[in-house]
Amino acid sequence: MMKRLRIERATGQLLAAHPSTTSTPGAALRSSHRASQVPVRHQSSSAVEAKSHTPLYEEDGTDHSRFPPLEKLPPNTSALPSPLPSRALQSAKLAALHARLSLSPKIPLQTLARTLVDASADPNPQFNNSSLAFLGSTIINYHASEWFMVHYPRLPMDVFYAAMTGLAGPAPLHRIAKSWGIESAAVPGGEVDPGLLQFSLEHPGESVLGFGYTRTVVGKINKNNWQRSVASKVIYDDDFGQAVPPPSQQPKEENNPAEEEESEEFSESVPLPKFSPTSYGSEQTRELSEKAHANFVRAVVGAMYAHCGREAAKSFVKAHVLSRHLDLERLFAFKHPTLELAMLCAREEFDPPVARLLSETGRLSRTPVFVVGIYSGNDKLGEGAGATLEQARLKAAMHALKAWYLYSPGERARVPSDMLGDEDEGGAEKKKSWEPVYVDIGELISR
Amino acid sequence: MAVKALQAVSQGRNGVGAFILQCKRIDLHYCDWAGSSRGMNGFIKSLLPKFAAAHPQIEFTVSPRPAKHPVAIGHYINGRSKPICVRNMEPYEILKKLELLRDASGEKLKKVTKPVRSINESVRGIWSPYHGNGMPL
Amino acid sequence: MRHLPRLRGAVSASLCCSSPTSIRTTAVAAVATASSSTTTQSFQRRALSTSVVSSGAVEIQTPPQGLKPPSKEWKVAVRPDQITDPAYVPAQDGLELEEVGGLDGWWENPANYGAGKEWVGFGPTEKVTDPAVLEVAVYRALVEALIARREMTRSDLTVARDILLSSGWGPATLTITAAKTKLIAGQHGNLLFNGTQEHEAMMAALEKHTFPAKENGDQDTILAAESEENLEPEVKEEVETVAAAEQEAEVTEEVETTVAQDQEVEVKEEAEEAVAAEQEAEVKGEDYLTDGVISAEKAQAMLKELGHEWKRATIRDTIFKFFVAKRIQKLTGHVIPDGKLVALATAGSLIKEIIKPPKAKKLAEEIENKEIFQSLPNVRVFPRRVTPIDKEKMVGRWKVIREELEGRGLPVIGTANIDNAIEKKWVTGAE
Repeated sequence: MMKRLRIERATGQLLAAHPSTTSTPGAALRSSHRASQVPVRHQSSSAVEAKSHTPLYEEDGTDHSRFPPLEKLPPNTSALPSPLPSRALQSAKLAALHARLSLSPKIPLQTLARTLVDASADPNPQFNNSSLAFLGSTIINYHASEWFMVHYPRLPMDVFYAAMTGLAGPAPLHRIAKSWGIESAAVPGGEVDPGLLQFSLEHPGESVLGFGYTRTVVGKINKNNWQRSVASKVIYDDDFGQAVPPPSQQPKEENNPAEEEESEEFSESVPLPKFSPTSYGSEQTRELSEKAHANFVRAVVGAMYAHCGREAAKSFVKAHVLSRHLDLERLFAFKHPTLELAMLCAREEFDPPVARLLSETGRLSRTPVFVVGIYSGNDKLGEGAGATLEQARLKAAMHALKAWYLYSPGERARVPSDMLGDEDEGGAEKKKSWEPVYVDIGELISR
Repeated sequence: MAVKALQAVSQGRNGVGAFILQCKRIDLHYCDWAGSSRGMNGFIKSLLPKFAAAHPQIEFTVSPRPAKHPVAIGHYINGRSKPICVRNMEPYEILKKLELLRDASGEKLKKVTKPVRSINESVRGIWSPYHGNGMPL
Repeated sequence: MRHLPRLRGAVSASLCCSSPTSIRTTAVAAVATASSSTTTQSFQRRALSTSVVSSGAVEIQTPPQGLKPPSKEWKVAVRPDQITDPAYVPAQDGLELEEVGGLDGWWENPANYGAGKEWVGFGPTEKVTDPAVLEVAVYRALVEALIARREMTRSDLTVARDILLSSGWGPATLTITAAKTKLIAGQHGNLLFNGTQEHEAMMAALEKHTFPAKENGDQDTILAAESEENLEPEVKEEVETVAAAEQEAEVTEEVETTVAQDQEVEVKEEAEEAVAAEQEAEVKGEDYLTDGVISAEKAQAMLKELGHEWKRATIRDTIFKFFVAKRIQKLTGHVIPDGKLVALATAGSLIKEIIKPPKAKKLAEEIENKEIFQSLPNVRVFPRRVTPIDKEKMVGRWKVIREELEGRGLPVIGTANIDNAIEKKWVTGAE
């Protein structure tokens, strides 16, 4: 269950990150930026305006007498890894995005601008969206998983992971970001419009994105495509059943060669091409782009939670993530459906399944059709049509299994988080009407 | 031996859960000098403030384009854009054009023969010749 | 190719007159000749010519009384029935006529050019825009107009009034004295001096600085009778520093003539001394002694002392308002159209009429001034064309492009003298 957090405190922390904390990984980088006469940044909505700078504008190689700069940026702005938070108030793109998502006015534009800065663009966690994305990912994954758990209580674990990936994984979140009209900056930097998603294809950033443990043999698992048991996936792996990758080594840490070798062993350290080979980019660049877009969506949800609370975040997730269409029937891949069905009937103490030919046509023709039904006693479990008797039988078994696995108590079943409403919002009434959900005894065969 | 899973990605259904207006940006270009921009300049001064306030989800950019006819360009979420030349138009005519840009989806114009398209499966199911009693001949 | 303006129909003699000396009196002459255009019509066609008429017969036209004639003598051809030359054969049609005059060689004649030939407008070429200075200018115009109405209504003083009308800011002491002359709203709200003696200092200052000796005899006597420029030596020095070079000479001449005339100098000398001492104190105390338009800070300091009561006083007299408007135009360059002038009834409305922000020339400026989209965060207005480089900068690509170009030794913007026809050289083999 989710613990109730103190929202006000979380908000304050988000808005006023303390520049004095030097224990963070990005502190060293930050201090080096300061040393090189880069305008000082502060993550605060109380608009630390860049008034104290010299009136000189950023030099960009263009003729300022003929084309005066459209935005009066202080010098060396493009040396910053991400735009100054104060510029968020000037960006029309950002304001339009805020309105397009119907975000609450409690969420300041500065925070929205921060959600658009990926860890690969700005490694400083006080200015990128990694913390918000982590918060958002936990919220999205929680709501998605409880929805599947309650509405499809008999889903096998692998299918459940696939459904989670299909609904809340990076790919669907990337599509959600695209459907919000997010445009990405070509190269991140301080002079970029804060309303653009900023991520770097050259330096993939480091961001913690979920719970889980790194397996000691993760390198070999990835390399040899080793199989993992469902139980170990539940214990070790992340919310999508994927092995947690080892924390990649920053290329700057060259003073530790032993660690570098180790990391090479684990993950492919192929240098990313500076320019993408095709107009659509390489596979790595597409993956990085997908990850950055997904992290943005998660960060928006995290910001929603931090500024507006749990209910707002939940309704946002419901509206934008859970409302999408995912056909669960298409996620099943059976190997021996008849055997599985027989074992199911044995476990549930049904009569053993029997396949019967219901109707047929054109047995001797080029295109015969057989309709086969699977019966357990007098109950028909499933029915399938195929061009051969064997095919029709398998299909009938598959249908019977899907009918079992995709049992749903109905759309109106309550999820646990429905009971988390505040006391003053009628939460007490909700608690009264809670009925326990159906919990399945478990998977039929699990490795 | 157990059930294996395939991968699929959820499909978005705009309007189910949340609605996102497909027009994300409208660029307005005008010329300070040319007479064909007279209506556009008046529109920007008089009607655009109200239109922009009514559509906060659209980003408006207003920039001069000297010695060119005035143009309004709509940019859409699917990546396409729709430019409309508004030379010699009166402000209210330009307002009509902006409403057109706002309501467009950004798709290429094509003839809609089936007014409803859905990814939901049919409620009645597909007719099967192998079920039911059939028709006695 | 030059386009010559065509003269159509009857043109008054004053416009055709090319004498440089008559430019200053154009206004007077134009009004006079317009009224008597029927009498001068007979020689108008000749007057269009700028070259010398070759006819022998010369008749000097005596202008009607009250006109100020152009200084050039007019030559009129002899009537055909009075020609005695037997060789004279009258022309049968227009083509046989000898061509006289025209603009032949006019453009090449250097005498038609020069400083004296250039058109000089009534007001200054550049408008005063500072609101405080404009307010002080209106105040000064009002003071001068009141003085003109009170003191210069006699027929022999109209010349002085014309000089006052066409004079500029002059020395700074004039503005200071004007600001010290208190204006109040009278019993019926009309504009008045604070007291009957209030304007004397201003009058004296005007006489000293604005009406120096001219070649006009009438004016000399008028000013001699009024001004009494018998000043103390040190005051005279002050005046000299203040006045322009030619004014200086004229003032000393004036002083000499007045002394020579030896009128009742002693009577008014004391008053003059008082004024002079006051001016001297101001001159020494403050840094007001800059001629021409006063600075904005000085104007603001003056406005604090002036208060606001005078702005509420009504002005109904149309001629008075016209005089004020002309003075404002002369001082500030702001022209108040007659249509608006009729509606302006108070000094404050006059000020409001001329203190207006200049009209924005570009739509972006107008939007910025009026703050049309100030409250709309989703609207962005660019002050200039958004170039491709700007677009690249917005998405952060420009720094990469620049780095790549600089790394290859290519110009970042422009072509840097690299001829675009280099392929042509390769093909033709030309150097």
